[in-house]
Amino acid sequence: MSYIAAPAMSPDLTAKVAGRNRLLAALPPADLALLTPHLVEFNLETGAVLHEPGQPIKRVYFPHSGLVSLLGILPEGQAIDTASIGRDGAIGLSAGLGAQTALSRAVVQLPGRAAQIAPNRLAEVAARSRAVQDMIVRYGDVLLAQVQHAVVCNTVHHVQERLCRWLLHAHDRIEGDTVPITQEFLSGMLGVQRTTVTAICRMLQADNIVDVRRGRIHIRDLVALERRSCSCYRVVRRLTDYS
Amino acid sequence: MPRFFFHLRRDHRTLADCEGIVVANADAAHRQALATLRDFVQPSTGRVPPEWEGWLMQIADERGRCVFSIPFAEAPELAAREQPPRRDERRSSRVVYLDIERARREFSSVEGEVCRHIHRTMTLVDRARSQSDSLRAMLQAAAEVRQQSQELLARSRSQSSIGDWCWAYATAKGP
Repeated sequence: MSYIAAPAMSPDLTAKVAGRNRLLAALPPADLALLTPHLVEFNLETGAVLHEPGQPIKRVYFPHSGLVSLLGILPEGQAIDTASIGRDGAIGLSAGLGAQTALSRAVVQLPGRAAQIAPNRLAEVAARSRAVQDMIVRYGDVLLAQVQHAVVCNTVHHVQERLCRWLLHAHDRIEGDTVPITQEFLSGMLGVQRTTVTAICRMLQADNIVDVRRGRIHIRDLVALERRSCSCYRVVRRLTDYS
Repeated sequence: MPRFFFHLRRDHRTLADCEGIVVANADAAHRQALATLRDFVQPSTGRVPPEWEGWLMQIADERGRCVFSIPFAEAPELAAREQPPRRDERRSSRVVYLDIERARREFSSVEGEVCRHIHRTMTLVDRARSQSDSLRAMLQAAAEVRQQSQELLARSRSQSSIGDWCWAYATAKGP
């Protein structure tokens, strides 16, 4: 994990930031202007742990790109993806309303950039801005709905559909069509055997939907991929439509 | 440690696994294959999606020899069965177990088939026996009826000859 020494953003960067993280973009300009001076650019590097359950929340992150997973952790140490957060969300946002400790592990799965802010700064802004308070509360609901949907999907849908859905969500959060993930990693996310993931990927490759290379999956046919995915992809995407 | 390859096969089509996985032995590869197939069962229906049903997972060793293969269609059965016993309970190779197990399964299914056939044959024999019994009774009844009708015929014939005689006597005498 590396912190980029970045000065507080100048107002002309406000528009750029807002154009990337969609939660920030949905804020009225006056409220966003209250936040902007405290936002610091941050590099999300694959594997970096942003929050650990039981630990104090040190920073709140608004990703502009990349993908962060909230992981459910079993006592045996296995961690399974419960929600994926990209530019449509934030990590640790409830700290703005006084939450002190993180409740789940947040790990960067796909690299990208984020704006970060200290929890006490966010709380100060929230105390003055109704729109920021609303954003925090609303996003809490969205996240809960997303996790509820993941539970339903995991119990009902086939692993192939879930794998396609995961690839689609990942694709939404990257530039281009190549998702830099290993099959090993995907199997951990989906909570299935690695050999299961390789078998499905091989089948998708044979059908010209993806191209699997070492450490990356290149999506060749997005439409066909969505056809193989469960409908949860659309449902979850609609949840994070703040416009 | 040896490397095993999990190829996918259907009819003449093969999707080869070029990477494979490294496991302790064929036993572990077999366990891995079973766990993989279990993943393919759709939780809501308890079945394998139709597009996978015709496929076969073929496990090959480093020399390319097929160690064993399992059809995806058997996955629900595998999932329904309990988790495979722990490593220490089965020290010898599971590959041998697979054949014995499959043979046992096939044998019991054949045994069931044979039992069904025997049962069916027995009911057919019973039915034939009861039918022959009723046929015999019917024949006997028919014979009795025949005898009775013969007697009736004989009596009526004798009665008609008496009637003829009376008629002739009456007309000969005249009023």
